[in-house]
Amino acid sequence: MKDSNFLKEHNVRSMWHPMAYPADSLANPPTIVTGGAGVRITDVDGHEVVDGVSGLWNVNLGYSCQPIKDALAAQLDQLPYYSIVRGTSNDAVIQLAEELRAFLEPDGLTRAFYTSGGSDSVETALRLARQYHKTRGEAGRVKFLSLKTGYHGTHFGGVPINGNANFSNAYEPPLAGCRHIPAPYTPVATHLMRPNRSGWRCCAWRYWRTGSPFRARAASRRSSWSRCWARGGDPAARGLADVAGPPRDDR
Amino acid sequence: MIPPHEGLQTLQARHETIDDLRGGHGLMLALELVGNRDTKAPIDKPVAGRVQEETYRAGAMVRVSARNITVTSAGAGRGGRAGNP
Repeated sequence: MKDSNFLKEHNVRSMWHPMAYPADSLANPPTIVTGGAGVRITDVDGHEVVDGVSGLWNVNLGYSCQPIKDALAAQLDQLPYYSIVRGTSNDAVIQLAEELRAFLEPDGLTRAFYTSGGSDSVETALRLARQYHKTRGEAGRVKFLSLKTGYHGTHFGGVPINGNANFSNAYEPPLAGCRHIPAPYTPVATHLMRPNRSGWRCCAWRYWRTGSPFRARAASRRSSWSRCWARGGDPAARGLADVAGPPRDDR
Repeated sequence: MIPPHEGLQTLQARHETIDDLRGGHGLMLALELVGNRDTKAPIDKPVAGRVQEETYRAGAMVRVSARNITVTSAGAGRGGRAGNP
């Protein structure tokens, strides 16, 4: 390993950090982690801490977990890679799919499609959703509904369905047919609470009807929180049915 | 070992700045920081950064997103060694 001065000096010189401005990365140098064992990580200065973030929430079994290292090494010895694109498969992916099925079948997920990451998965799911409806003869069902505060990754399909505009503004124009709907977000969402501080439900409802909490007051008087409940059911679900139901040509 | 959610509840009782505490179910925990609990005025952004720095100095890496702090209980809850998560 190069010494710590080299690493600190070069960190931002030849690479970009995701979701950061290069100038900011220079001004606020990141912590450079050089070791990990169990729940602990060690930085380039030798400072050891408990990693409360689990990497980026993905190192769920700890760093340098022996059974995982053993399994990785054994697989590398036996077969490091073989393609599963049409015509070939390999023993490991077949067995993994069965494990996943056993784990996820109670939630209705019975088949795996392997991808290389989260954004890749979202992208694939969006494509499959459209293909599903086309195959079933409902080619008009092409819209994507997502929650205003949601995060769906950084690829071209995931970006416009993200709820936070910081992740999408710079990459517009977006994929067509993306709609955002209100999400429950209770505590410090003062901009949502402001209209009458009556809680997220009402505000979310107004948001849904008007697209803005600030244009919402008049509309909310006319409409219909109570009417909505009287008609039965959750307004969010009803709203979903309105938009996602029959194919519409207003996209 | 104190369960991580309980530990954060203790912190919440001690610090006005911690408004909302999520967690106690599953792996994720989160703290929402405010400048004022009554008005829910957001905390100054540099304060969240300082909390992150001080926490790191005191022995734990946590993640700050905007004015929220997230922790996984897998990391916060156990003091395992390598190979023994």
